Amino acid sequence: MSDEKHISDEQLIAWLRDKDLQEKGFRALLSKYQERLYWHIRRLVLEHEDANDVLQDCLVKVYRKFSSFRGQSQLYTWLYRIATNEALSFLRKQKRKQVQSIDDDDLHLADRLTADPYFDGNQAQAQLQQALGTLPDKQRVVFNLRYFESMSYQEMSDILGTSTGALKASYHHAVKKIEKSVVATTMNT
Amino acid sequence: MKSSKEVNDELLSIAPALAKLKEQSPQDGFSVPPRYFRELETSVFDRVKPQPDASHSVWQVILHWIMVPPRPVLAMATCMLLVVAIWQLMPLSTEESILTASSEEDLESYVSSNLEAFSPEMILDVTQQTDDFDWELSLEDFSEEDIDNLLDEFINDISEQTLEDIL
Repeated sequence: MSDEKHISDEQLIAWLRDKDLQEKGFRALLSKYQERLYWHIRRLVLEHEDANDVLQDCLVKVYRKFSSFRGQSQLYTWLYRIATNEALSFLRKQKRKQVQSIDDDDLHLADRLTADPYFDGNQAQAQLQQALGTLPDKQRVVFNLRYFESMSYQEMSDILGTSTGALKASYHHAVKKIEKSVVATTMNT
Repeated sequence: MKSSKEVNDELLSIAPALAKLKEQSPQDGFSVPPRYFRELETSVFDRVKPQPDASHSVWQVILHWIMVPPRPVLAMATCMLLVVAIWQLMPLSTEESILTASSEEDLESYVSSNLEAFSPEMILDVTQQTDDFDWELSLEDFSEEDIDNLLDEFINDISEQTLEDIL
C-alpha cells in the first residue's frame, strides 16, 4: 500500500486508461490521494460524516468520469477540482435546507464543532474554525488551500479556474478578516 | 507545491497575530475514526463495482439456492421433515381416535367395545355436551329389579356407621 503512494501520476493515468488495469490504477489513486482529498473536503464541510459522504461521491465520480480527464492539467489539480466542486455543492444544498439567520449559523457552527467527536482541537483551533465560518465558501477554499496546504497561487488557479491575482487578493482579504476575528475573540476571553 | 516557509513569511507580513497562532497550532484540530482510511477503499469499491442486473439476479439466486442451498435452509428443511415424520408415525391417543372416527356409528361401536378405556367423568362430560341426551329421568324408566339392584349396591357401599346414623 505504501509503495502505491510513490507511484507517479503518469503511471496512474496509464493504468486507469487501460481497462484491464483500471482497478489497480484506481486502488493506487486512492492510496495516493484519498487522505489529501479528505482533509481538503473536511475543512470545508467540517463534520466527519459529511466529509465521508462528499469524498465518496467525489471518488465515485473520479472513477466513472476518468475518461473525461484529458491530461491537460495535472492529475491532482483535476482531483482537487472535483473535490472542491462536490464540497461547494454540498454546502449549497445544506444552506438551502437551513432557514436560519447568520448569527444562528455561527452558533450552529460552534455547537457542531464541540459536538463532533472527531474534532479534538484546542481553543485556538476552535476559534479559527469559528472565524472561518464567517467567510464566503469560495474564499474559505482559497484560505484553506494556502494556509493549511501551502499551495501556490498558480496551483490554486489551476484548480479553481481563477486568476492568480484574484486569488492573492482574496487570500489577503480573508487573512485580515480572520486575524481581526481571532484577536477580538482572544481579547474577549 | 509552494514551500510552507514562503507561505508563512507571507502570512507574517500580512497578519502577524494569525502567523503566531499558526506557529502554535499548525493543525486544524480535526481527526478521523480509527482505520477510516483503510476501510474507505472498500466502501468506495463497493459503490463503483457494477451492480448485477435485477432480472438476472432473481433467477441466479433461485438457481443458486437449488444447487447450493445455504446451511440455514438445509437445517430448516431437516427440522420440518423430522416434525412431519414424528407426527405421522406417532400413535393416536384414545380421544384423538374417537375424534377421527368417520361416523356416529363408528363412534358408538368404538366406545362400547372400549368402555373400560374411559373414565366415568369423561363419559359424563361427553354426555353433558350432547344436546339430544335426556337428563330428566323418572322412576318409570327403571324396572323394579333395576331399582332393587341399585339399592342393594348402595347399601353394600355404605358404611355401618352411616347406616346406623340414617336409621
